[in-house]
Amino acid sequence: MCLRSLKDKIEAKRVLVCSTRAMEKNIDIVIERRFKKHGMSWTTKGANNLLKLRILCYTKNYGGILDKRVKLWGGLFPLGHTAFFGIGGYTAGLLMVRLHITSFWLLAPAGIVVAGITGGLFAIIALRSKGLLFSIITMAECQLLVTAATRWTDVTGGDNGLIGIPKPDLNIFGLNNLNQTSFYILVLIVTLICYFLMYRIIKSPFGLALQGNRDDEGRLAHLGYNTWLFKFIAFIIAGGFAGIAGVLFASVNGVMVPAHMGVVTSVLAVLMIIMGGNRIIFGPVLGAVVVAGLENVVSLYTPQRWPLILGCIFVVTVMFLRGGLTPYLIKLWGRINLGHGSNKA
Amino acid sequence: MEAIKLEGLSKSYGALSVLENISFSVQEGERVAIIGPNGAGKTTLINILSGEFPPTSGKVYCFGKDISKLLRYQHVHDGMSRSFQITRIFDNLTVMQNILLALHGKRSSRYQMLTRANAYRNINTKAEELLGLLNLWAVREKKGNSISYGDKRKLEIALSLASEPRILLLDEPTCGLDVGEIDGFISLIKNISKNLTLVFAAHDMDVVFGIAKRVVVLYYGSFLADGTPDEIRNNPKVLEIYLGKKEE
Repeated sequence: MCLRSLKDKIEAKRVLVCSTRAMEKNIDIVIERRFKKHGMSWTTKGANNLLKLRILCYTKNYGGILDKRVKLWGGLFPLGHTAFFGIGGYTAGLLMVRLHITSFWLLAPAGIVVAGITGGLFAIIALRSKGLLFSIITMAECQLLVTAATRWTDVTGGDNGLIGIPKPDLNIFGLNNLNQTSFYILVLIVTLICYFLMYRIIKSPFGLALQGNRDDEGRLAHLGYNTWLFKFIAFIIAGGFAGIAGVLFASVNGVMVPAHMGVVTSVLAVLMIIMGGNRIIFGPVLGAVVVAGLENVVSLYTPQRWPLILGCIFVVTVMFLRGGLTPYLIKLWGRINLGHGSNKA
Repeated sequence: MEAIKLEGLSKSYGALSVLENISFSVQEGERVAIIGPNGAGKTTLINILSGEFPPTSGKVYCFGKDISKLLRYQHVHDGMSRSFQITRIFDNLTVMQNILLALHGKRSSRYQMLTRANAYRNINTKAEELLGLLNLWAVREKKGNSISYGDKRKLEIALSLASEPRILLLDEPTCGLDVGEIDGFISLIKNISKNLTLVFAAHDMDVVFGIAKRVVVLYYGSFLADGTPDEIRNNPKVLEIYLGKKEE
């Protein structure tokens, strides 16, 4: 008896779990026929409840918190983005250390191209999935590279890292053997150029399509967009941008170790994006400033506890800071300005 | 010329057969309504026509070209465009951006990365025309999720009109609109160019008899009747099954 009821329970669960649209439609038909047969109709209360459920379903309000808040410009949420960052860094590092090519004008394109190609290859695998699975596959791809970098000791130096990466030469205005300050200015200029390019891309028809892809991929396809191709190109572009970042990072740090393209760095980047707010292009920059600043300050006091504090910040941001810091700062700015205005008046 | 031709079209989800052996053709410029009770297969038919999923068996021809195996975006480039029963617009883009996105969809400018989306003069003019046509000009700077339901329905139709289709598929276009808005919709559809082939699924008989020159009745996956609105109105089978039995 007991076994029987358990079996029934399992059966009922199975039926519930595998309910499909077609089955729902079937049920609709059955209900409708019964209604017609008996001359019944919905009570106002029942109809209201059904309506509420439907509205919840259609507006997708029941979805998880993460699903709603963590979506990047293209609607894709990669966790393995540092793979491209690391590829860029290693490309530049290897060219400088092993082949003694130090010209920035060769290193930067090499980093961008190699990272872009890697992006394309990874995209072919990762774009077969969506949502959470997509994040996990990108993470796995990233781990693949980390393992490769760890094991291939002859080339990458393994866990000891690629040591002694110099600063690149610019070869114009006699700017060779850059010191810390002039290299900082170079990084700033490259960042500004990247920022400008990203801004243009987001405002362009291509960027608009990526934003549309974030909202509703199916609808976009019905407007004539090959959504797969768009995501693929977006992957390559993102790889390129991460590549140039890696090239600069390798020189700043002087050392490339496999951990630089590991999951922790990836999560750190995602945290920067969430912290700053992903809907405004300036957001991630602000997030990066806040996170890097915090890291410096916290490391002064408890270097061992930094990951713990980082995790706490991550949780708090996801729970309480809708859309990151930037929207709040913009609101605050507006309020201050309004305050000034009313004071003057 | 035949705009759409269906040959022995069937669709089944596992054991449940939703459409069975449907064959019919639509001439260019014809306005066809698909009616039928809930679950009759209207939306499935439109989904197959627009390439949402392929048919289980049978073929779909669009202007003589076999499109039954093509992907969704390829259908659009073959001149098809659709709207959805459940409004699907881009919530986080403004109304204007929604329309620009739809207008870029069929042009090569959609791959353009460094010019602004609103820097194309001919596309801007088109967008303004569409906004004017559908009375959306006042809300053009508002985000998709902050406009009223009626405006969302209008935007949905504007999106499907924006890709300059030769065949327009509308799935329950007036679902959830009030009487005045329905009248507005009927006159709007009547004013759209005469060459446009229109296939729409609807429950509202005013809309069906107001727009359609031909009505197709589906009943649980099979063909029940096909004819002018008057013929359908007087068809005893349709009256019995779709509109309910006459009380003696």
